[in-house]
Amino acid sequence: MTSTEKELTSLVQREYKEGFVTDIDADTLPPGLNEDVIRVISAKKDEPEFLLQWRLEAYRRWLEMKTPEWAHLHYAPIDLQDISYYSAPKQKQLLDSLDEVDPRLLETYEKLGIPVDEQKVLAGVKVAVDAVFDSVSVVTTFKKTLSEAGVIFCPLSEAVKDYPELVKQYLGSIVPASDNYYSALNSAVFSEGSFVYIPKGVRCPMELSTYFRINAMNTGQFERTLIVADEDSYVSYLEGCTAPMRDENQLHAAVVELVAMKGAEIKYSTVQNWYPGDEDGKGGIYNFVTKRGACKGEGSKISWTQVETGSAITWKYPSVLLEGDDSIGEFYSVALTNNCQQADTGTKMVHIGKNSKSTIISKGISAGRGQNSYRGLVKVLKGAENARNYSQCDSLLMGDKCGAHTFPYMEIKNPTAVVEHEATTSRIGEDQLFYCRQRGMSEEDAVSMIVNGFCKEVFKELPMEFAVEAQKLLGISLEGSVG
Amino acid sequence: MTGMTEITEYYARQYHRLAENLPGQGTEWIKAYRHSRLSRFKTTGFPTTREEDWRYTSVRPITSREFSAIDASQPVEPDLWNSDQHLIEGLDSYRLVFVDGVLRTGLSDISPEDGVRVDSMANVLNERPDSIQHHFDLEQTEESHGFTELNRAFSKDGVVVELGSNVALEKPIELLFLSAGGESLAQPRNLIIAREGCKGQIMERYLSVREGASLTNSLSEVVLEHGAEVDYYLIQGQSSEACQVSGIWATQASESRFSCRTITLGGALVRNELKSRMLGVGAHCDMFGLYSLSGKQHVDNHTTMVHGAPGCTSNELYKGVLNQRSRGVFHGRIKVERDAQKTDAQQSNNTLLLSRNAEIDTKPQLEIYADDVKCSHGATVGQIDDVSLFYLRTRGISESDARSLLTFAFVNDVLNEIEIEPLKTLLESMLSNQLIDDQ
Amino acid sequence: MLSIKDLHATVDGKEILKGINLEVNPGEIHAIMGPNGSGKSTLASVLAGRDNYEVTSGSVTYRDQDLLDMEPEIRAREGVFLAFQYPVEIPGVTNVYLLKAAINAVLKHRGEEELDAMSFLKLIKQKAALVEMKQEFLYRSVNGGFSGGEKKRNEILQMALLEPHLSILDETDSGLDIDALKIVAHGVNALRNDQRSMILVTHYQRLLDYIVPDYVHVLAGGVIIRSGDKSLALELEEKGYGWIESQADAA
Repeated sequence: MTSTEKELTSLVQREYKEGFVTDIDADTLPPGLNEDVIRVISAKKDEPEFLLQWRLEAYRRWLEMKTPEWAHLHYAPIDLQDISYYSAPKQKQLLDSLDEVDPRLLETYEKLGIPVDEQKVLAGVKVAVDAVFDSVSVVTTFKKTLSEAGVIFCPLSEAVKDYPELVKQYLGSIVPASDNYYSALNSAVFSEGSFVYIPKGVRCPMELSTYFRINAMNTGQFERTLIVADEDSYVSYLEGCTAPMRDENQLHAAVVELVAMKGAEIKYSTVQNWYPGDEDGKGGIYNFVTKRGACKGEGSKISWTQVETGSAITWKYPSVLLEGDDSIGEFYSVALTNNCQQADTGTKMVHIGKNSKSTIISKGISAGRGQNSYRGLVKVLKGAENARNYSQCDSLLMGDKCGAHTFPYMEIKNPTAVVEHEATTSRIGEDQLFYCRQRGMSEEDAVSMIVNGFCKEVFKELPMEFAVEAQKLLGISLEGSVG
Repeated sequence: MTGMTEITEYYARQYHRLAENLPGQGTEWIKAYRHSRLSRFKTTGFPTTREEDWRYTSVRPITSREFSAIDASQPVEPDLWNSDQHLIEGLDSYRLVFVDGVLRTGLSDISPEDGVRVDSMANVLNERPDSIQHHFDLEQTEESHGFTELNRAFSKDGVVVELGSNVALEKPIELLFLSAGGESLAQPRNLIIAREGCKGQIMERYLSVREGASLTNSLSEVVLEHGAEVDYYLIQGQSSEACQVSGIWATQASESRFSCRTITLGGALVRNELKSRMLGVGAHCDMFGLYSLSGKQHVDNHTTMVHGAPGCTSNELYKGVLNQRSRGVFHGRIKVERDAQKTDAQQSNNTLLLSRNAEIDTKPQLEIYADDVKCSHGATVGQIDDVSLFYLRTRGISESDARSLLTFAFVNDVLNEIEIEPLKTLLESMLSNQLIDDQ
Repeated sequence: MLSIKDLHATVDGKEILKGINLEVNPGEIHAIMGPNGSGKSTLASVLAGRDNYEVTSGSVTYRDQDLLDMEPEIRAREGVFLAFQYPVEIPGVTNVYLLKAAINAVLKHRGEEELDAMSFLKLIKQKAALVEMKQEFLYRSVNGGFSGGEKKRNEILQMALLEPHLSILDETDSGLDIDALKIVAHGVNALRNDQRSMILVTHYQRLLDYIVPDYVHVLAGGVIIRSGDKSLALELEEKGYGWIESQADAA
């Protein structure tokens, strides 16, 4: 083992600064899952009957399903009866202003650097925030400014009451409850999430964002996000996630659905920083997420950008159904696995409309004993004339105990398609490191610079304020990986 | 017959009927071996599209029929053999001819040079089974499927080739497998042992000599010792009713070099499984493939490169031309084990889709557990380049000629890897005829 | 030889040529000059019959035939040659193969005997010498890994081999250093005779020092705004395209 390799293997002393616990009284259901639990969740949220029935139907379908085992992931089975499916901080049901929010909650978001006070800004930019704490939304900012533009941005539980028709029309329309094991589970027990509707021709005046925080012990988080962009509208949406450090694994099974009508564009960015577990693989979030968008109309566009640095297990494939002619799907991803983290992530691009285009840029970084897999599908259906896809999947390995894997699938049924896939795997060269150090950089800075350079194509897709955060996060996640 | 269980039962019954007369059955370990393979076959059955490795290939054309092994005690019908049609013009080789999987010595030439031993598998099993016993003992079952086990259970014949240390084979060894149709089942099993420092060319060629469905389920194991160099050819030109499942599994010791070219022009349903396990330092493996398909042909190339030791290199290039309603499947897996530092593995699969109803499913895979590696794969699917087509037309070349010229150019880099000139010439003319026919 | 009347053409729905008129007689060399985007290369492509270039009105008569009615390969066989601005690389097809296929297609079209391997090789050697092209280039794939100058020389080699009646040289001088330019010009001049016509499409006057044209036309905004003899090219060189465009606007 060379000296550089030795230094690389000492990659362990990562600090997870979001790992604190907020001490707050919570209304938490006892662990366990059955129809009664679902009825209680629905009742607590004061939901209309149709939604309860929808949940129950999803639950019954879920009972017949099996955990997917095709992913390149190894973990002990999750005991779903050992998890609580609802936990909410005790406070008044409806809050009129920020002043009524429990200061301990506000403090939590303050500590996480999330601006729940409208006067505060994130990296110099005003962002509307929906802050979700365990199973409920704590506060949503800038509601007034947004409603003036006609934009609906509120917790899903509110949308169910205020806009039942919209919710009824779109909920489960992109990711049906029976789509997979985790989406069925989510459909049965989902607790909170955000709802966004951008009316025709409206360009959303600010970035929208939701911050998810898991706090309670032994609680699963099952949020559900639904974004509908009507004709010729535009929205950029950010999602951030953190959780305390705990020794046991916690489950997060979310569903995100995006609908883009004719000429609409949705840009969805995620910085996922759930607790990854400690250096020996103890604890950490199991992150099983179904994200899918449909480019329904002509010329619509959906762009997924994700920076995945957290979670013990990540199982996530943000996808685009390119139904409209001339529609565009994009997937930009950075996934980092350090210590004992495992990620199996990628995308599906399904070309249905004519002249539809998709771009996939995936950057996987494996360090420590991390296992990082890209799994992607590019499917061109018979009617998709002149479909175009370009995929590039690069892996960077740091240390000799990690793994990097690539599993692309290409299914082409139209002869006018042009599909290109490239994948490379490499490591940070000792000569690159030496070169940087000879120019006076510390080894850690050199690694950070090279890794950031490796991820540049993805970072440039992130909104400014997120890009800064993502770069910092990557630096922290790799801390101790050298020297 | 439709059910999987019924068809599995059918082959099990056929086995019991034939078992007594299978070569080497008198030897206890062989009998036990066959028996265990059959029971494994009965448990696994035939693969289905629900299995990840078979998701794009349905074996219905095979399981919906009842194929049966021929009675090898009968002489070959004289009209079956036509040297003008079945031989490669200008090729001087050591030739072994099999009809429905059974060696026909009358048509063969088993007299190669010193240091090279060629024998039929049936002879070896009957006369010196102990010489190959450990190859059977080493078999791994975890990666096998129904077809593998079916072959292992009741293969009747095949060839055992041993290239002695430092021998350089003067002529290629040509294994010519003829299918006589009539729902015949051929299950050749071959073992090639390449001793230290030897060098040679080996060709498996498959042809149909009569109309009618047939199933060829072949398995060839190639063992390369230190520094051995084997150039392997799999040439498939069976009829449009023939089904074929072919396995070529190589195990490579240090500094050995295994190079395989798979050319598929014929067959209704073809599944090729090429594997190389590089277990010694500095081994090298090439896999080149070319499939040019039309009609309703379905060809599935499934390759695995295992880099199991440091400093091994591999290079893989598959090119496909799909016409009419044909369907191509490419699955290329590269696995780099933990200790296999300094690995260099390159893979690419390019497909020309020339018809509205042709389809390609391609699935390259990298699984990497070592960090000091250079691995890449690329896959493209596309059409003939319009600009090149126009360029050629402005030089007076007709559109259809320009199309075949460009298609030919597309596959040329695979053809150029063929080092047996008469074979290359034959394939070039077969390909250009096929390209003209398809237009 | 060639008669273009009120030719209008569009590319992707956009009109590029807006009424071109041009008469080319046997033995004449016409230079077409103009600023970038004026439609010079579009005219060359339309004459060669490229897809996506749609002629919306007007006519082109070539040796008493309707040129626009012919497939690209028929135009080539009838003696129309386009030297490409960006010659295409075709991996896997050797240069010599392309040349042989091309000459035999032309000969067959004329009802003449196709060349056998020996006489073809003799002929190609002689033509290659004309553009100072080394033998090894013949056996490489078409333009594969050729430098800019080598690609252009290869175009002239093809032209010399096919002996066209009408050659259209699309920016053949672009990207050439002075030595390569001289070689190319020498090849072109060697082909010049009183039966053969040429259209030189170029941005710069430089080429015309070596291949002297009979006429010079200035193309701007999809029409020929001025025609003259070779002195027009010199005037353009001196005053720039702005001068002539403003004159045209004034008129």
